Amino acid sequence: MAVKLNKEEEAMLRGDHGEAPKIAMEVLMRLATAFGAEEFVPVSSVQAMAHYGSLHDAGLEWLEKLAALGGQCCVPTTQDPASVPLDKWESLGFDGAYAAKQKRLAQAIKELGEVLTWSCTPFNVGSIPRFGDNVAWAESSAVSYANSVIGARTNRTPAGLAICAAIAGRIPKERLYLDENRTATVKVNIDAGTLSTLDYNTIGIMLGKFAGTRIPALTGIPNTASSDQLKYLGASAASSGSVALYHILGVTPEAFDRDPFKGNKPAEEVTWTRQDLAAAEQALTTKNPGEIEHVVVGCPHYSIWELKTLAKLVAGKKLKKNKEFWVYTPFETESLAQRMGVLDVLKEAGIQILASNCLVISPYPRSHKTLMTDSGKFASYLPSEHHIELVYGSIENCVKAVTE
Amino acid sequence: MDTIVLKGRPIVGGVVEGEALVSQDPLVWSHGVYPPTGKINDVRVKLNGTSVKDKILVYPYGKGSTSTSTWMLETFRYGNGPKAILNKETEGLIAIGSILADVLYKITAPIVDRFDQDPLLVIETGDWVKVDGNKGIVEVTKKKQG
Repeated sequence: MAVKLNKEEEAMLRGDHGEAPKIAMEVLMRLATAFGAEEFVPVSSVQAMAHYGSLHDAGLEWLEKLAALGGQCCVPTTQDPASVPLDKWESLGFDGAYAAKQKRLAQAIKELGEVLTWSCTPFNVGSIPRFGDNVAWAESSAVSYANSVIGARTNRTPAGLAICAAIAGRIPKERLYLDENRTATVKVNIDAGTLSTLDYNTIGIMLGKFAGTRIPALTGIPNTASSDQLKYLGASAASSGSVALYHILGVTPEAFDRDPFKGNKPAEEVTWTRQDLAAAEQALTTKNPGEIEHVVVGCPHYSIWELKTLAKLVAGKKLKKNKEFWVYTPFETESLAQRMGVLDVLKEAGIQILASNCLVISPYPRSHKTLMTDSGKFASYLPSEHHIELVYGSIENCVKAVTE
Repeated sequence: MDTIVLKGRPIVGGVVEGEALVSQDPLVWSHGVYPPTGKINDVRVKLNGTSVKDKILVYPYGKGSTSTSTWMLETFRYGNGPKAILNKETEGLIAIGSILADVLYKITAPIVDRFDQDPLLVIETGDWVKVDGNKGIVEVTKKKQG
């Protein structure tokens, strides 16, 4: 079946708007044809990728080519964190040649007109879709948040394609852009009493393993769950499985006052108790941890409220000798923390802020063997990626482990 | 010699032929294939250590992050990409890796999925495979036994 095109799309394909929109539209067209999309949908925002750790030289050449052809984002386009902390890579010991590649990527997306937030939480730094909006986001945790918490619509947009959607302002209408593909198919009942923030991470990890690529609907999660807690749930589920959309009965918009199963019976239903959560939590610590040397938090990026909470926990304390504590957050949130006096408290305790960066997609310029985190997604990725032992626990226990 | 013909869904066009490399395990390109050598670098995969370069790569489906496409693209940039990819189910992440390899490096690596027979049962490592990505037709010549 041929893809239906409107006049603007035909004009882009002919090259009326220049070479970059033509190339972007051609790539989108090939994808639409392959996957049987009937038409395109306009997108209101894009979240792309420009980190050297995943893009490599090929992705750099792709973005530089589009920039050299005069390509311009026609909708607000943000991007995932960078592969080095952009303002302090040198003092933290990142490799100069590697940082130079990251800087070339930064230059290319600046020329392409992206909004330089460098964050996996665009929703915390000004890119907030409305309910029902079509967007093209790439970062898996942000995709989950947009689809599930906000009720906007996006697939897991491939790195390298997101920039095409940004330049052309559209994406093939397929999979999660279509109503019928957003129905829940499996059900998870949480029966574990009061849930801590760590519990949301743990449930996310269990959810990804259970659901895989299926769409789950959960019960037993209160509508007082915070934005940060749902951020962790989605990020963890997207790291242990490929969950791009989940529903929570009575909480998330597509299951708030309607049946996310649309009258169908779930293909599979499970109930997880406190014992199940405790077992999953324990399994996230690797087998042979040594003494905790380094705490890493902020995956996804810490919000201002998490920074403020952390400041309360460490007020009057100091890092023990030879210990390190890194927090990943956006530049904007760091600046807000500065204004609030929160940053001074964190610095006083010896905590290092790595704005714009993320350890999942960056080198680890340290030789510590055992790290600790409060993030399910970090727990999923860091042990295999950086060949370290990892302890998984609450932020309170992270603080206890390395401060006095 | 006997050949077996499979019919599938054309995802990325092009006509190539080569030797099959069949992984019964799903493949993760992000951190799971090392672009400078083209070797699978993933302890969860039985073919760990095997190069995908110039193979007709057959595997069930992809797993892993949205950066799959740029990890694939980097492997093609090094000249270490497969000649073609045959999946049970392909996702956009895989398709974009091959489409951008064509746009940037003029490398044709057809992709076909959703076959009328299970490619993981029909095709074995070492078989000679002709892939027509325009029509979604794959011709398999079994390797000589013994």
